[in-house]
Amino acid sequence: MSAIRTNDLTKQYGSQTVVSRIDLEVEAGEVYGFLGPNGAGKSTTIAMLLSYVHPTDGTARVLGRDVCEGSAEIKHRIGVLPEQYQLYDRLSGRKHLQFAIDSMGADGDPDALADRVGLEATAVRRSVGEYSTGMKQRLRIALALIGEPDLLVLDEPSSGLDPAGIRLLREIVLEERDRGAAVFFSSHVLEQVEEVSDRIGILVDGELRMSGDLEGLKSGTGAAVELEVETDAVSRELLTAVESIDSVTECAVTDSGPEAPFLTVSLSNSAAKADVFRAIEAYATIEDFTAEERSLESVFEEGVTEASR
Amino acid sequence: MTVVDIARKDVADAIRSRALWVATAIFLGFIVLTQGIVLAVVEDPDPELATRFLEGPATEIVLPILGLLVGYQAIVGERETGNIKFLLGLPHSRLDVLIGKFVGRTAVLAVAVLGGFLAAIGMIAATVGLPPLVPIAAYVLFVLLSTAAIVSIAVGISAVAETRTRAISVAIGGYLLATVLWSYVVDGLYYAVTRSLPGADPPTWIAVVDHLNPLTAMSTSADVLLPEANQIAITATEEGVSATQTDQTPAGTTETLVHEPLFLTAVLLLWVALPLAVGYLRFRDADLS
Repeated sequence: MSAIRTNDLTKQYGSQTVVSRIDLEVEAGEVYGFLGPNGAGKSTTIAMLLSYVHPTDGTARVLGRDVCEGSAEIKHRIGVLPEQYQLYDRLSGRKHLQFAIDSMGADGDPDALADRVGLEATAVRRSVGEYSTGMKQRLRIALALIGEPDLLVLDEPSSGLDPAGIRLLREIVLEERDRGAAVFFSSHVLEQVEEVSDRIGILVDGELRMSGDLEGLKSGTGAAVELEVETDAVSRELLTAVESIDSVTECAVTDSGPEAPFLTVSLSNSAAKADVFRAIEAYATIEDFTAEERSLESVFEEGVTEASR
Repeated sequence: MTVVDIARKDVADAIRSRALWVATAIFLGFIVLTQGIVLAVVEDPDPELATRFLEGPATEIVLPILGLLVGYQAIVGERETGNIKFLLGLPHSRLDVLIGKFVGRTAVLAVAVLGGFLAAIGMIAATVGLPPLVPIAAYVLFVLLSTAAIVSIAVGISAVAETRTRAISVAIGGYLLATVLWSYVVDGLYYAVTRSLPGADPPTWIAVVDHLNPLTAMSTSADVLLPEANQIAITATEEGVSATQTDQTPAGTTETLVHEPLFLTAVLLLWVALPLAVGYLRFRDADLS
């Protein structure tokens, strides 16, 4: 059973599609880095996984349970850090931890948890209203660790943390993974994801542009590819055939004057190149082609540029 | 257990934020003030008369305001701050949160109501003698049930509204409808059906419509349960104004369905259940982003 499995997961607000047909899978004992520029739809995806937001289409299963059931039971086994949620200013850090421990029905020691995220014994007894941004974030991380959950869902856990805090977060994520938990966390900073993730997915404009094994993505196998194919003719049937291939994320035709028309095809996985060529050959003759492997950085940078436009 | 966890936390929050003390002080202040005026102004009041004045501005005007104020932010406030994601990230369902908040806030207001009534009863006992405790206890139970109904309406509003501003607007609108506008609504309906205005002894059906207002139901429970007191005669002479009790009791209204405690209980229970049910259905389907 996967810790997280989504199928065509989609969220629309009116006519605006915020998350578009996302398929992703996270297994127990792995760290999945969910990367994307701000506003790409990461938080909405996470909100759907945690049943805060209802999907408009597709399905998502978390620890084997359909999120649409909105089951509260399943939260016993999930540690969550939702997007920048407010803590209760009047409550101390310790009271937050105690309330969450009681709610989870877990046996946990608030002081030990606070210690694990580097909150001092005196600080944890003060009310959260007096906390700095970094201390609040440390407390949120501690709250997600209660009861040794099978899955941790952390939305931008490094936000507000100083470099020492980020190092500590990284250690904690790896400890939790080694314990056997699945960790799903989002970030808009590539380096932070690269450091700890076993697999990553890049979300841009609500679409999962690239997903896979971090080593593979880095070394180029299974990496994204952009193909430029020169053909003698381009027909509607040809385009449909190319677009129907799973890994094709984009397909455009440039047909300018005297030169032969060429196709620009973006693939999320270079292994699908052969499929694309076969599809084209069925309708036309390939005159020439170039293939440009795209690195993790380039896909991410492109996404950031695209999103900021 | 999870409803209890939420309710307990809610009560603890109300203690920390002093909302509990403020609500108690306001309700107690009004009920004691009313008693004080009655005991001071009327010459030789008997305990029955003082008891009759346990119903007054405190229950009719202040209690509904306190109920709406205590409840209108319950859900929408936590949604606006994002605290709700903390609660729902733990093993609490949306229904648990809604019911827990309702129970917690009803408990807070119940403390205020009980505190106020105990103080007023103490005052009567200390000045004019022991009031009839059994009818008072029955009436206080009705006030507590009404408190639950008012809090349910407020929490229901807070579960449906998208913003705090909208929640308070709806709450104020509901308050004005139930207090100021209600008699016009009832008379208007009567006129629409019969082309005449209701007289002193309206037919049962319009009385039933009138009592669909939980505040009317609460007020009638006082007429039904509290002992009838002699009328007060106010005489103005050259020396000043004096108020004395006469030997006359007010002409009792005809006993109808709306004077049945069971009917009044049913109306109030409906107002406990309905707003929570509507609020839950809307809150269940809401996107919390």
